[in-house]
Amino acid sequence: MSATAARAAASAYELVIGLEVHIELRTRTKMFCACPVTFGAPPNTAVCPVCLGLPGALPRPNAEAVRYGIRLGLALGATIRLRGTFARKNYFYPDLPKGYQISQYDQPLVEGGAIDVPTADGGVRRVRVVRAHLEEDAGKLLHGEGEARVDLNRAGVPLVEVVSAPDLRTPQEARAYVAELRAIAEALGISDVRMEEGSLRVDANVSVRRRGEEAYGTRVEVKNLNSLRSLERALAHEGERQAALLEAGEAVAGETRGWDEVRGVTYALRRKEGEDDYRYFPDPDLPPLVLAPDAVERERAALPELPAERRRRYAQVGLRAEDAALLASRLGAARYFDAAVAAGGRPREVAAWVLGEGARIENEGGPALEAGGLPPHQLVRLLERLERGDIARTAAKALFERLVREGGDVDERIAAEGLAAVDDPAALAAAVERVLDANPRAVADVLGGKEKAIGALVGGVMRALGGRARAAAVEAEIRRQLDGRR
Amino acid sequence: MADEAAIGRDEVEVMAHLARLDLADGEAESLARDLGRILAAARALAALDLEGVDSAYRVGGGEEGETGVWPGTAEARLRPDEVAPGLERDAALAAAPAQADGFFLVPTVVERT
Amino acid sequence: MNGSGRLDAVAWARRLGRGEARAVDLARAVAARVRAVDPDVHAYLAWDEEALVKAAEEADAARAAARAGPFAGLPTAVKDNLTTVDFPTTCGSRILEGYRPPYDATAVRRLRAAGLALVGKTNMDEFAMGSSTEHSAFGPTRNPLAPDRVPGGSSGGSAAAVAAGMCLWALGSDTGGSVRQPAAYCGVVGIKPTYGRVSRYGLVAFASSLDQVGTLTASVRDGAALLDIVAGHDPMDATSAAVPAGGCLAAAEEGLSQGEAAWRGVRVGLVREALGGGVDGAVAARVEEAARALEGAGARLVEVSLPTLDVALSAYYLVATAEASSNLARFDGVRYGLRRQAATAADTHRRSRGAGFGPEVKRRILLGTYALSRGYYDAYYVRAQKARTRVREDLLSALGECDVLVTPTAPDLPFGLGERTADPLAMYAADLLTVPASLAGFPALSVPAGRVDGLPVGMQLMGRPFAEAALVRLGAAWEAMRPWELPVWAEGGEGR
Repeated sequence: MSATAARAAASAYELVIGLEVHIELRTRTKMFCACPVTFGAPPNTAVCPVCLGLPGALPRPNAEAVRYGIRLGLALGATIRLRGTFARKNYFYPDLPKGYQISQYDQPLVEGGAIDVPTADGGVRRVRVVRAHLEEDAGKLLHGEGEARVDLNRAGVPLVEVVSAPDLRTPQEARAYVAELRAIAEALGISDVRMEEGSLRVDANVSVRRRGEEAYGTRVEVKNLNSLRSLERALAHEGERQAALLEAGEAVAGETRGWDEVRGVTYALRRKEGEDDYRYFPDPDLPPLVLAPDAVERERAALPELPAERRRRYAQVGLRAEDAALLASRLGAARYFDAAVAAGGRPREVAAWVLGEGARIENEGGPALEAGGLPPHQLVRLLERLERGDIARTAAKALFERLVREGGDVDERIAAEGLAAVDDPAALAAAVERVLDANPRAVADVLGGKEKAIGALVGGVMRALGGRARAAAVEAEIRRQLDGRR
Repeated sequence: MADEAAIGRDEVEVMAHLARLDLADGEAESLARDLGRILAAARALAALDLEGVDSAYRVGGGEEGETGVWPGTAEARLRPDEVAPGLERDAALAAAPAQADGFFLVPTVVERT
Repeated sequence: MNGSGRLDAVAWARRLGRGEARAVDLARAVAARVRAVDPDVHAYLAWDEEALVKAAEEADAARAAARAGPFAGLPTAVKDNLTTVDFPTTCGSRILEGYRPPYDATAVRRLRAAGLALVGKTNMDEFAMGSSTEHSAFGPTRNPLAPDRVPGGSSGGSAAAVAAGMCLWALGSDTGGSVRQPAAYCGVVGIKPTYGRVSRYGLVAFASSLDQVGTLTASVRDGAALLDIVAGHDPMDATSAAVPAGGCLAAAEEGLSQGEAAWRGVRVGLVREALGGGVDGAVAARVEEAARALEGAGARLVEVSLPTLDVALSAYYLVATAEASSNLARFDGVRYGLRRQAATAADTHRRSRGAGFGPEVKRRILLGTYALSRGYYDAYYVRAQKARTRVREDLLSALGECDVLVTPTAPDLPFGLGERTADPLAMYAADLLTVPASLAGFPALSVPAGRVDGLPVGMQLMGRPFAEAALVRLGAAWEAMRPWELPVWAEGGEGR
């Protein structure tokens, strides 16, 4: 079936998506041992008897990871289970040292809750969260020719797995859900949330059904979607694939599929029958996880502002919904924005710079605004000078970029680089005169009633002054001299 | 509990696959016989009235309020998030059947489902 | 050196403390004994005379400098499922042949901190799965009291080493009776403490919710002293109890000096079901005689019932094997242990495990896998755990009517080598009377209670959680009433 036909078929069907998002927690140590959580350390240098699964070694749960899990649960409006258990998920794989993963099964730390996912039209869609539980990560396998290498630095790193209800209906919604969850985890300070480094990983359960139908279709699990882009693409492809099967009168196989980023297709993973019998049972090495109610209340009291509240607040100070959402989804930028506004910046103006020039510089490989050389109060100063007309907008943008990349003081740089606008009336008058002389055609046009032609003259003067003039002053001087030439 | 505690050779083979155990020729049959006998003996459990009994094992002193005390709250059994020295890499790899460049080596791995 | 003929670790420690003997001579005598006896008994999988003598010399030097603990220099044996940096730790399995752990088990660290001198690592059923030590991949251990018979298991090597005087005392581990039953078969004392009393960190797991480090000693007092050394909370083990430990030696001394008086007014619960079907009549008779002796000392005999005794064994084997199937998954030939290379990682796992595990371990892994697998989990694992809760309730209820429960330790006498290896169920039956305390996590003590046809009978005392001190006080008082022959250990000794 052609791609077009596939899309046509897909339009008669509705996607039903549930996501399992694994978030690596940013604790100092691993989930069940005192080894440091590292990224990029030489292989097998952050290991001990526990995370190597040596005979006789025993797990001890990390209190901070439990607190992070509670914090996430509270942020999702979920119930925190005061008595939970750790369970073993049994399977063999060379990156899984004990032959089982310690996870939570029938008594997870977090139950229920929801994420309000912002939609394109500025509204929200409530996606229910079924549960979130604590578990340990596996190590890393580097596949090679005829052999594989095992690095266990990551083995035992704490994860929280957040399982959504099948409430998502489009790849875009799924993407927005993950982005929101990522923003929440970031706001809570519990994870680095870097998908490219694997600190946030997504598995999707996907089925399709004819629009209007209530019953769910056969579910396919698509594994290891490690960027928002792959998530969106894989879901779109998988939806089309399933719809095409149904349209052709074939059945969707309940299976696990991988995502081929290069070919842009999902593919069936081989699976032996019964392979997925993980034989969960309560981990006998770990007593029940019993929490004191006040431990939960302490976390509740310490919850930071969450993305949704931030969005509301930004909307209240006058930001457009789109800007509010964008800003709220990026913690560093949001904090920078808040500091600049606190320092006297006007919200809409600050937001425009942060989301415009600031984001552009970062996208072009420059530093993030919050990590660059222009602290928020300096941005406010720059905007003040701009408003006073001490620097032209074009020059201000250039200066902004230099300061973000290299640092420096706004006032000093404006003075030292002669960026201050030309305030000398004589110099301005001379420049205007030169430009009028050089452009008799435009002068004639304006004098002849073609008001728009004055723009070219203003531009000419600005260029002549290296952008260091206030447009209003330039225009006033042009009109004064033109009056003299009538 | 299954009344027929008999367990077949095929079931033994499924278990052996899950447990990653190569069985020698004829071993599956004899194991099936042994397991069948053991499970048949376990039939006494089926006769036990276990309505409402807690399946959570509770060893030692059990929870507070029961006979004896298991002192210390669960919070106390959690570990503070503080780094402690682990193993030097050489020690970590010392017993490995195959290693190179600081990695454990294994034969080709088929992608996990 | 001039041995007393009776193996008594605490007495030896005091002699050392008073400067009447040197640890190095003691070590040499023990080494001579190992050399003379162990080729026949095969209690040790590894031992090191040089290291033993060196540790003893250090203890002598420390003592001379008044820096030594009271037990420094006593030659001590350790079961081969406790990790040690200076000896291989094989758990009696091919899969760990030659494996040297990079860390010491907490119990071993505590032995070293007390200055004890390690003799070596003792033989055991592979991964502690067995009741005869015949399931060791490195050959069986013989019962020093009856060389054609088994020493019991799985801590048969430790029990035999004590019984043959090849150490002053030993550590073992007890999952369903693995300290108590070999103690009974070898005529020595075995203590299985309350679950959580001794750290399991570094004890290679068989069944995590049941495993407990225990002691094998010639006398109750020695067991009490050794338990005091290794017991106590350990943050490395999340199931370790933060209960104050110690005080057992003092309690044992008190019992010894009180003798019969210690039993006066004590309510002794005789478990009805443990003296009936499935228990050798002669064994039951010895324990009943012992009970009457206690009554004569002023104890009150109370008949109590453990209605779940018959199902406890099945519950035990399902729970223990379920946990074992998971605990033994780490032996995959990747980071340590035997590897049989194949083309893929999965086939390498299969072949390594197939070649590395013995038949009993495979049997239990498969049984445990079955008990946890889809469709059988509720019927077997969950049901067994519920039965376990009932066993615990039964024990608590029985202990509500009395102060100590008394049963034979094992339902029978030491059986012949090879007699039961082909019949797993017959082998499992040896654990009939020891599994209830294991399932409940309660402390239990096995003490000699006389002999039948020259073969020892063990009497089991079970108490409330963390009541080890009360148990050893009564046990020592029993020893004062009916002292048993202690192993002859000294150089040139004849054994028995």
